[in-house]
Amino acid sequence: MAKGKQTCKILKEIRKQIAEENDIELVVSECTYQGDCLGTCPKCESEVRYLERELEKRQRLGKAAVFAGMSLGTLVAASACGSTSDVAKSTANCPNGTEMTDDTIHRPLAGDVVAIKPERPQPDTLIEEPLMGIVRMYHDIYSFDSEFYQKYLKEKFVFSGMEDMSILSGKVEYEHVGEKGKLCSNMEELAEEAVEFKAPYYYGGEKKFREALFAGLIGVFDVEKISGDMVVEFSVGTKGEMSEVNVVKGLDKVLDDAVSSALTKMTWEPGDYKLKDESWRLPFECRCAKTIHFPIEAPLEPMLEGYVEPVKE
Amino acid sequence: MTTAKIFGLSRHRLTTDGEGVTTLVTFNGCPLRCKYCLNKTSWDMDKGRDYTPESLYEEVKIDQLYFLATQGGITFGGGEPLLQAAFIKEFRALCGPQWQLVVETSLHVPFETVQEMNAVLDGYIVDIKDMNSETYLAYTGKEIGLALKNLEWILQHGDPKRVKVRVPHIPEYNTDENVEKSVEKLRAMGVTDIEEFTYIIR
Repeated sequence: MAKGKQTCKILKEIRKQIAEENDIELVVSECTYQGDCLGTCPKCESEVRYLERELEKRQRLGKAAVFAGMSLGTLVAASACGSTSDVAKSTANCPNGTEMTDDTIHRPLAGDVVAIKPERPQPDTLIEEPLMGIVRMYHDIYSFDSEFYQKYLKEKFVFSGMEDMSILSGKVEYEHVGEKGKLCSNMEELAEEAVEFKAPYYYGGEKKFREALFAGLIGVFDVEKISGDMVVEFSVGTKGEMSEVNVVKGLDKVLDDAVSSALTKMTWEPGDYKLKDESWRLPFECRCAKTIHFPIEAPLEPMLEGYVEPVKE
Repeated sequence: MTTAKIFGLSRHRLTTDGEGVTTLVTFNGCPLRCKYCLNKTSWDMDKGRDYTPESLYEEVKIDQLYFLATQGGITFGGGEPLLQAAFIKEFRALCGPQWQLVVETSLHVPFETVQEMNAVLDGYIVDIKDMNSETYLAYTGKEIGLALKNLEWILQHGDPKRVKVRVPHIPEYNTDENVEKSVEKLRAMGVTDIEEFTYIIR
């Protein structure tokens, strides 16, 4: 079998499997063309376009496209092993010693590499657990005797300076140091300072704060938009309750809502309040990395739209 | 607008250079001058066709269904594809995270480029030529140091399984014993996916 015919056969098998997995009726007729084949032809291409249209229709109806971990390596190996006319170079994966070829000198040969990915979980089998990811937190922490702090202390801003944390690694790296005075490198230090200045702080420090935040980050996040800085302000009341959570600068509505929701559920250690209904106002920034790794692989269809599969709470 | 000279597009490659169904995109421009270079056309920057990331995407997305069904995508070769880092980054923004983007590279590019591109790429096919510095210099015309530094870095900054290193038997330049030594050195560096092959001189 000529190489083009072999490619055509494999691509046809892929199209058949896509159709079967998505309940699309696809009538595949045998190709009778005897001449040189490049692996595809207008008829093959029209089948691909037909499948695309059918999948789009299903997506509009809310049905996810299914691509259940197709093993191309197996298809290639099976196809190549069934061939006896190809000029040989490698016998990998061919138990009967059938050899395969490729038209380039130095490339791996068809059948050499068998790459099989595990089946992707489908929406109804998704594990119900919160999203975990690389999300960078960004705090502004100025020294307590800095002009900024002095100016805004009365307005109950506490955080200042700059702190860039990778949530997964927990590594804390300063990008800016305040002019004078003690600078908090993490939430533990902030807690110590907060005691001195009687500002609110999160009990358990940075680790617990991160856990609480991520536990609440549930939603369909638009991957392409989750990149950049996000600024959220909130108030801590006399009992440590969160209120007036306000996204000053958002990135993505769903993510903004998820962060707001997570913050709202938190309870902080309250600061020193002179008045009964007084509260501390705390701004913080969330820097979200563009690449977010999720604990489970999302099905393909939502990713086509740039979304990650929702995970139910 | 980012543009690049591309001298070849090869569709429907089946597990030959990356997982799944891939399209090979070959850029002009290479820092090496390998004696048996397969694509000497790539040395000539005047040949090839001008593409923008957008125009390339429009052309190759015809096979998106195959890419998605088989975890395939685009393999950038050349020439040296990492010389077109900005182009590939823009292309990634267009195609999204689902397509597998792999480079067939010598890694003979600035260290900063490798650092910048590591998060953009899904895999590397590294043609290391020979790990012996004299052999490398004789065959490619360049020192091996930069390629090794880059290889070491990508192995340490991501899953080593995404790095396939190809070690050729190069007629007149190395022996089977030399290749064996190269393989040993690569394993010691942490490379797990090594492929030996022979250059066939035609």
